[in-house]
Amino acid sequence: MTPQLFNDIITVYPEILMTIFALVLIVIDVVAGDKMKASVGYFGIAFVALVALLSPAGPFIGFNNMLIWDNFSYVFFLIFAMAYTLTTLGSIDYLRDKNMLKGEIYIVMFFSLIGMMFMVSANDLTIFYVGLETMAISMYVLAGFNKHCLKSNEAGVKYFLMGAFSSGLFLYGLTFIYGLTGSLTYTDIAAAIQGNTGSLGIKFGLLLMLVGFAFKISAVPFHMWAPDVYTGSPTPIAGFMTVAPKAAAFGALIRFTWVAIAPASEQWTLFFTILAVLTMTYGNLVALAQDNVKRMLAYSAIAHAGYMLIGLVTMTPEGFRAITIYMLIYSFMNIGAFTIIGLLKNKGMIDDERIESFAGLSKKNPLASLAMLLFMFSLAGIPPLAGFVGKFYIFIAAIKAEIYWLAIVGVLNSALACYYYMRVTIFMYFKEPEYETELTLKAPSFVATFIAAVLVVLVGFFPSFFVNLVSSLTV
Amino acid sequence: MMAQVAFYILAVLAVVSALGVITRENPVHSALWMLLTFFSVAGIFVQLGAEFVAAIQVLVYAGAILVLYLFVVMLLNPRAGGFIRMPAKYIIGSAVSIVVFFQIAITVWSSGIFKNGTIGPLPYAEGMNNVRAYGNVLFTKYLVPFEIASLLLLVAMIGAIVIARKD
Repeated sequence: MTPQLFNDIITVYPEILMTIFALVLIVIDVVAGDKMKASVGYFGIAFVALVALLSPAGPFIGFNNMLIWDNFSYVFFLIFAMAYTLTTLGSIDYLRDKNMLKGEIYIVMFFSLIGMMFMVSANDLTIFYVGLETMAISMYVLAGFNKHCLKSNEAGVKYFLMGAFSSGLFLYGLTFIYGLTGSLTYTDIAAAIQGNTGSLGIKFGLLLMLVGFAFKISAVPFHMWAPDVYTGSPTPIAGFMTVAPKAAAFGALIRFTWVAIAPASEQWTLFFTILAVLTMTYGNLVALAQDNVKRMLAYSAIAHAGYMLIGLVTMTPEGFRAITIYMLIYSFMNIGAFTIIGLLKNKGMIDDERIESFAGLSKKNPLASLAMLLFMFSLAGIPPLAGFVGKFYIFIAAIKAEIYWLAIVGVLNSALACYYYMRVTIFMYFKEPEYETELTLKAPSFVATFIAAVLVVLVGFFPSFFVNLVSSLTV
Repeated sequence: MMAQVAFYILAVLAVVSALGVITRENPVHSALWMLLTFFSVAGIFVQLGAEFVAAIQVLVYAGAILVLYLFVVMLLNPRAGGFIRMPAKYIIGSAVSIVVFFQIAITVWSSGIFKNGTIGPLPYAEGMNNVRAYGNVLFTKYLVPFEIASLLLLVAMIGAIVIARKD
């Protein structure tokens, strides 16, 4: 084997492992009996953990500069792996209860991870785009997985149409960039943009591509699909969708802005600033008015994308690292919250996810409501929980970049967000129940909630491990 | 000489069938006329030495896209008697086609065909044609995206089965 070939193979080695494991999962699904479909999920978790352990330490660049495996790819892989693990554990009871526990859901989710890995490790727009589509198609299937629920069908179709539309915009921009720079590799694009920052064609192409990205991270005003899709999808899957695809899009966006459009980055700070301010404010304001907790969390997911966009506005390594920390922390606290919402059942005439269902939960199920309290406080960014650490680094990055007013807007927004997160805890602890509700934590969902809750507390008190993990990240 | 005769046959066929597309009242007939347009345009591509585009034209447009059109037409089953009965849309359609026509005309004019007199296949290296060149790039430089595309199709297949299967 020539060194070149060896280098190429090691660059794509984690993805190759994932692909082999995905195919093995299909076989396991065929072998497993109807009562044993959860085992597909457990094997999936084991495989993801195995890949996390076996992945080489980078950086490797292979395939004509088209693919990179470095610490940045690895940390984002950890985010996806965490999202997969917690979602799988948290979804088993929910799916069994709704009579749709099938092996395919874990297989499709596993395939979506491969697409996300390619998105983040891509150094070339072709690879990025094919990875994006692999992820997106898996997500359409997952959103519409509950075939007998109209809302889930709507979520699947809506996600598919908006996803196809945003892909179209992205591709249209891409053709401009390819035509004007003559290359699809990020480094070559950067070199071509270098002496040509004023070109209107390049600006137009980049604008369309960034709008495509904005669709994927559900930034306002390109968010219109997000609330309906997150509300309609099966609840634990919605948790996965608010975290993993968003992380993948952010990872790819960071690499793209940091490498490909670095020479022209100053032209785009205004674009990102507008997106960040609109996204935070709109997400929080609309979330205030929601009585359905799942829908509220959908809008809060939009708002959190806004906080993360502040990191992009700074255009500094600190900003990008802050986004990575934020995404890591957001992954477990949000999936934890969605797990609890998925398990809560209301026997009255209202939807399971209505806020009234949470009334008096603390007396009936103190452990689950304690976990929910932790997640809500953490999402609100109250110290000393994990969510605070994430927000802290984002705002510090903005202050270091001397964009004080944006940090202030962010802090004001998190104060606003406290209201609707606190409202859930107030219902749980201080309201008398109006409806008969039921919440049982069985083993898998208990483990998922437990891991998420422990991480929320531990990372809040001892953030150094996570911070060290990302402190040396470069793209 | 033979090539020119073949070109004129294909060109006339393309124009006539394109007229057929917009004048038929039954949308299914329009779609079938469009099939003929696609085939004659594919023939012109072959004459220009663009075998790959010609093959894709037949496989993707005549094969897949047209079936999609027919599928949508039959699914929606429009009662309105074709395009020509709707004057507003007729005007919009004409305006768009005129703009596109001038766009293409300007491009062709500025390419200098009329000064040089001929246009032919672009030259290739010895033993190369554009299908081979495309294949070379696809299986060397763009090998990874090609392989990821296979994953994409696999997950799309699984997804389609999951969504469509009765349970």
